[in-house]
Amino acid sequence: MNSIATLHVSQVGEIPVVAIVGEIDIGNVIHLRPQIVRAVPNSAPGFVLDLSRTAYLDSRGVHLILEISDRMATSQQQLRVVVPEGALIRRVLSLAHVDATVPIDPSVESAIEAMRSSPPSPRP
Amino acid sequence: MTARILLVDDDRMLLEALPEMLRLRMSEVEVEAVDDATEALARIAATDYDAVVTDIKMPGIDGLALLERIRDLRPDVPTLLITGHGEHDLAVQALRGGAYDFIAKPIDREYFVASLRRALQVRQLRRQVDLQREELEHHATQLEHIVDQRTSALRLLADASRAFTAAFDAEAALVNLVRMSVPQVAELAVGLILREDGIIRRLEVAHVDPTREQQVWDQLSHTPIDPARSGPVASVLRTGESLLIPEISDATPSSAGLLGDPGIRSGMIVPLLARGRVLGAVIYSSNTRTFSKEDLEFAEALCRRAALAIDNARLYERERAVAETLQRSLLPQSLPSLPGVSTAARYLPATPEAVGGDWYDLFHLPGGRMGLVMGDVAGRGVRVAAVMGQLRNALRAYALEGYPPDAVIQRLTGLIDTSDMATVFYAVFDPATWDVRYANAGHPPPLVIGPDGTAKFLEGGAPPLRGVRTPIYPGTAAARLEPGSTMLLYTDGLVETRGMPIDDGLRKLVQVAMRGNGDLEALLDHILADILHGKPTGDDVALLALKATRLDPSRLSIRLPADPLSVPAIRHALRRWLDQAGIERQDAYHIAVAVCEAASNTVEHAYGLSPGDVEVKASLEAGEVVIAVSDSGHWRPSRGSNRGRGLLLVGALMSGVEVSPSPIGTTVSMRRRVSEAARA
Repeated sequence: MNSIATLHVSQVGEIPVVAIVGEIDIGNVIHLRPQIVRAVPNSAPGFVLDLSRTAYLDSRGVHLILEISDRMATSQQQLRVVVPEGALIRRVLSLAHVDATVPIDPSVESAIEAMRSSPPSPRP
Repeated sequence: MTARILLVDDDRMLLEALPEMLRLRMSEVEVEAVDDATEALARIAATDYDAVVTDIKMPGIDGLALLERIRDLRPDVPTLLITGHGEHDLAVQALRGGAYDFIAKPIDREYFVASLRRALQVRQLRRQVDLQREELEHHATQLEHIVDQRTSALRLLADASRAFTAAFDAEAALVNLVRMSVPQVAELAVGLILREDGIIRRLEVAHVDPTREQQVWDQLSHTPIDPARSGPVASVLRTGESLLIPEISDATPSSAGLLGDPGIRSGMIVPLLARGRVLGAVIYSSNTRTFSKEDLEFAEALCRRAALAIDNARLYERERAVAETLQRSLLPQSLPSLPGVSTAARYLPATPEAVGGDWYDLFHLPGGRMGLVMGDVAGRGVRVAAVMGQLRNALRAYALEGYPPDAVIQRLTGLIDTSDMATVFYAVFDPATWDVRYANAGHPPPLVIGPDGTAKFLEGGAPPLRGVRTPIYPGTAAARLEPGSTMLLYTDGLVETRGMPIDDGLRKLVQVAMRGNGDLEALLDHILADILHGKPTGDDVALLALKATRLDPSRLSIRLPADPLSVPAIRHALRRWLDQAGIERQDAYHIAVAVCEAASNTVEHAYGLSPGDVEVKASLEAGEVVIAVSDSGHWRPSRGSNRGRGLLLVGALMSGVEVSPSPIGTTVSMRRRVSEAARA
């Protein structure tokens, strides 16, 4: 309820795009997780998590991305995260090595393209 | 009974013969004889004779004048006159002058004795009548006295009833009762009322001699009355039956407590009974009087009235406690604060027992903004308070969802019945931009007092909320606060005084507000004192004030509850401070992440379920930001990976990171060199 972020869900073809507009921290992360999960049907090949309008993110946000990534891996769906070049949150993601686990794209278009060109592959 | 007769005559022969003759013919008679009028009058003055017999012609004084003198001295003494032959006229005159009879010379002895007997009889009867009259008078006086006593008793009861009706407080009613009982009921009255659990809630002592009250208190503290123990007081409290002890002997057991004191002659214990419950008792004692059944009845009548008042006060106290709890639960427990934003609020109920429909609210909003609400549901009572509670919660919910003020207010209309009416003002203040965005549904316009002391109202708005018929709201208005401004929200109880047009009230508010733009608490006190003289005039009054000032560029201090929702508030305040100091965006962002990591750790690990604060202190000196995040709890061992990852980030983003646990709390200190961005 005390949301400092809102979720915008759109669809590009069969791929849902979930944008988090606002800030992610300890105060709202537990509300965001189920909302994101609900936005992605099991039938979809995966989804794009768009953080281009995410103004703030710290280790709670990192944790959220990794949790969702684990869940998508379990259901054999893809996750791509969009973070534009020069975004403030980029350094936090790289310090936490999120990019080692989840592919990061500079735009929604490039993320969709990458998802369409690479079929899901089960990870260890 | 011997009759005393005074015989007055200058005829020596008669003076010797007549007494002898009377003594012979009348039993129980004592005759004194004088031959001189002056001597006779002196004796009459000294002695109350049963009859006076006098010659009508005495030397030196006229017989009629003598009669008059006698009647002056002793109007009740029958006087017989001895008249000479042919003095008939004189005799008639004497009878008119009040003589009882006249005896003509030569004296007919039979007639004389018979006349004297009658005179003595009349005198006897008159004496009896007088005695009876005296007795009657005495009786009448006694009756009057009783009537007086009863009247004052009745007056006391009437006064008591009046005094008790006015009392809203059980303890005050007890004090009244005990004070009123002395001295009309007894020399000493000791009253007590019980709490619901049967323990004595309050004792009160009144003594005819107030200097002796302390002695009674000392005695009570030495041997306290125990309602649960055995003894006369306990038994009265248990049974609800009065106890009358007309005579207290020295053998009265000490368990009688106060009544067992030496010197006390009589006592009674009267329960305070109301609606079938024993609320307490009064112990009356006297060392001069013996209490009668009537005394007990009177004391019972007095105590019945007091008990009713005490019971009413008890119910009233309970209701007031419920009302106050409800009121408190609907108003913010504490006002949220932000650096550079100070807030203060007041709530004055019109009557303490009725819950009004006024409310105010203040909360953090996403992005470091603050929501301010002032509302008023028409009417009072628990139903109105419920509507108010609903509107309050719904408004908070819509506000936190991020709806703009007009949309929030529009959404509230669906929540109230068409029969209800509410006015609401809702504003969002952004301390970073100094913008106020607001919507007003029929509420008196808030006042903005500028740093220079000028005041202006936040104009614009729509009619009050009235259920489904409410029109679409015209939109959100905007204003910009200058740094150092105060925004004052209030309810109409402040400006709508009976008999005064609202414009006068608003003008007065402006005048008062312009005089004090210093400390917020002082401003609110000032406003209440000057406009309401400390007391609402028939309507509730709520006040909420917010003052926004520039942050100190060299240091920042934030203290907030260790709650997840405090973390964004800390971040926004910190970024506002860094932004104001001209710190470059990337640096500011990284500092914010580091501080939030440390604060999140405090929120998650420092306190468990018990409440506590998280404190952030930051300073900027010589191109370096130095920060300490501290708490007064104990970090529990880490769970999950958040803390490790969080501290990793802190370590990567900041330098000189130190976590210092201590028995009084944990402090995370860190620093970072910063570069100033080009000022906009």
